[in-house]
Amino acid sequence: MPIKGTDIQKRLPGTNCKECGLPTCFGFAMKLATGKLKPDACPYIAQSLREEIENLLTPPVKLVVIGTGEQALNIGEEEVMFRHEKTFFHPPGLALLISDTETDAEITAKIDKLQELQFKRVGMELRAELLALQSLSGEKAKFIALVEKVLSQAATAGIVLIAKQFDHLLAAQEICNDRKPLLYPITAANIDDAIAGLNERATPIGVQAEGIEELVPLVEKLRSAGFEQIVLDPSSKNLIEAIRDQTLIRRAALKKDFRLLGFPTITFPCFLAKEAQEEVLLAASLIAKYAGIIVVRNIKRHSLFPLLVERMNIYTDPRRPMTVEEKVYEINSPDAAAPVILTTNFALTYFAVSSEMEASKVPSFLCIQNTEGLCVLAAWSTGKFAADTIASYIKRSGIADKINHRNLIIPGYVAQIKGELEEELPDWQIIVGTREASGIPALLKRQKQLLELSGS
Amino acid sequence: MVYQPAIDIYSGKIEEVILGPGGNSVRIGGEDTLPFHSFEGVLPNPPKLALEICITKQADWTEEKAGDFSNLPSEPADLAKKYIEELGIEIIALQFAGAAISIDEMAKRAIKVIKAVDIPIIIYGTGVSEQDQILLPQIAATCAGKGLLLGPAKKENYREIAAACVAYDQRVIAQTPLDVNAAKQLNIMLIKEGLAADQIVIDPLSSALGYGMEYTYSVMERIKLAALVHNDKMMQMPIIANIGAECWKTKEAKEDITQGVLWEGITALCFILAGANIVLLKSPHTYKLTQQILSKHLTDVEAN
Ligand code: SF4
Repeated sequence: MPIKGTDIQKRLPGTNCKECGLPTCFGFAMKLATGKLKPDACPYIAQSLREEIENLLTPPVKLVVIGTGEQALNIGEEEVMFRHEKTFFHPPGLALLISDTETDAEITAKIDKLQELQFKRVGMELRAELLALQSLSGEKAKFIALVEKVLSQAATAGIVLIAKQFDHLLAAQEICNDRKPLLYPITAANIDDAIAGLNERATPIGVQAEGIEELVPLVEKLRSAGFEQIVLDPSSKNLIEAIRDQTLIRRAALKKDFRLLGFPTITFPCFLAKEAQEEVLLAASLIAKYAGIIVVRNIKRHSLFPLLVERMNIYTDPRRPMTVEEKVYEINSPDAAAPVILTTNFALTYFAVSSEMEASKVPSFLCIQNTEGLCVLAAWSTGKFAADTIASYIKRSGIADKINHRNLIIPGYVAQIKGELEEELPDWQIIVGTREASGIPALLKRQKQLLELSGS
Repeated sequence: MVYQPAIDIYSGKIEEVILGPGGNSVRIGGEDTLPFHSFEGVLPNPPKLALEICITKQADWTEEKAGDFSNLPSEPADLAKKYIEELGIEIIALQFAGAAISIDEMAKRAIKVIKAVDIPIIIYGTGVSEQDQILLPQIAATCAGKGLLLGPAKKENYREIAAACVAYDQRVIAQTPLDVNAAKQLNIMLIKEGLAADQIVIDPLSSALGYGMEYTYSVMERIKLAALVHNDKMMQMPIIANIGAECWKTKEAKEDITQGVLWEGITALCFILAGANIVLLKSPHTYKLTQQILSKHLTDVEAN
């Protein structure tokens, strides 16, 4: 916390009245500085000091939670403009748009699609987490029917409710309040209804206005009415405007400490794009450029998967090496005669090697040794990928039980350890592989032939 | 609370590099602000896309139901003309990586294409330093005044390539492996060899989506920030992203061409947002799609 206890102490009354529960103002100041107590414990604290401390204690971009339980979507709490400065924290939620004018079959198909399209990569579960339900028919009953259908068919998905008519929003909220949906849009036209009608101030709400300037007074009004779970929509008309608006909103919060814009955002590629592929690229841009929620109209396997991978890439903590789990990976359903390749658990090495192995179509085993995310050369030079550590990994990996030969291919970059490794693993024959992953398919094919020859 | 937009003015400016021969030249760079920040600066040249043509065999991804582009001419010059006519491409990138022909033959084929078309051409060598340091000067000498963009010049072979670019007024791609400081060092060395700052384009090495894309992304952002915020003259050269081959060798692209196009398109767009001034693509489909995004969604209407 960038404020010193002694500085706080100077601005407290200094009466040592003990009402805060501490014997002295100094003691209270120390507790404040370390965030252990809240400023309102002292009834005499100056308003300005209290606000300053409260601001310091709350992140510049507020955390907003949509949905409940394990599947709840957390957005906000971002601290930087550029990922290398620290990291981006909460990946934006991807929402699939469904309107109440779609047929029952279409709606079912979309709900199923959202639940079916889940992927695993580097030990991470990737999926789109929200359904954005839009009242387009103008009939409240139809909108409610859509919400009910989603409630029964999608037990876990987070929900965004979209309706121009505030009474539609309110009615829909009533039936899915326990799912903690986001209500959108709150505008200059319905803000008074919202303040009067939404008893629960913790309800996440999406505020929409034409541009940031127009957004600010609405947020101010909502905040003074007690709303804190706010998501911003500055109504950007195209991508270049979106980049401007998203940048200025985050900058205002981070650089100017402008709390009225210290909230995550919602964006709508679905309304900006005409074609599906165009929509994907707009969504991709918004993932990189600070969006909190991204609503799309189409999801297909081939469009959602790259977006999810991009989101994972951009939100990867640049301070941590990317790793995969230490284990024996089976590629193209290997049998006992299949070749064995060894490498490190740096995720990029793993991807490069495993994708070439898959492409080769040769059934094979990939032994991934935990080198704490270091690539082959770095791991070798720090002793994490040397003859002794490799030998002990090979013994504990259990690979010997899966194969009927003892040939082990090591990366070309560590050719120099061949002799030493053969001493450590006397039963094994060590084969020096290629330096670049691109040479793997040819190598595997040769190995396969060799093993088949020696096996027959 | 009164809202005041937090506008940043940057002290640095990106060099403007002119590619290609007189009449059909293309300018890249020249901006004094971050990518697409036209609300706080001037970006005279939108990012450019180049489409690559392999010097030996034409891209095999077209075998898989690639729509309008499934029957590509095998002759690089013919393919270049087709791309110019049908897609209106402004820049061609000749790729030599993996070509199993002699250096003389490579040079001969490249020169044939350069003579046949009059739009800017990028010569992306084999990537093997010993080959490129012979190949690139040969092409540079034969095509003097064409304003070619040649590379990759690396720390191992930059002298030979720089000398040829100085002598025959070509531009050079300075490649370093995902390292901001190394990029700066190579630029300094190239300048010492006699190149002007507006003859250099930075290649920080591009990885594909899912295969380390975020490393390239952040290196590009850091180079642009050093150039603009800290006015570091040795970081102010435009940035090039050579992503075609990287994207199309991934299994995600190989297993599904539509996914491949999006894989390449998302990679391209991410780098453009991070600061790439020119992106080399492999698929004509990706080219069309990404160009559409650039002109429809990323062009500042007021500026035009
Ligand atoms: S309540 Fe306030 S004034 Fe009283 S001792 Fe605590 S800090 Fe000091």
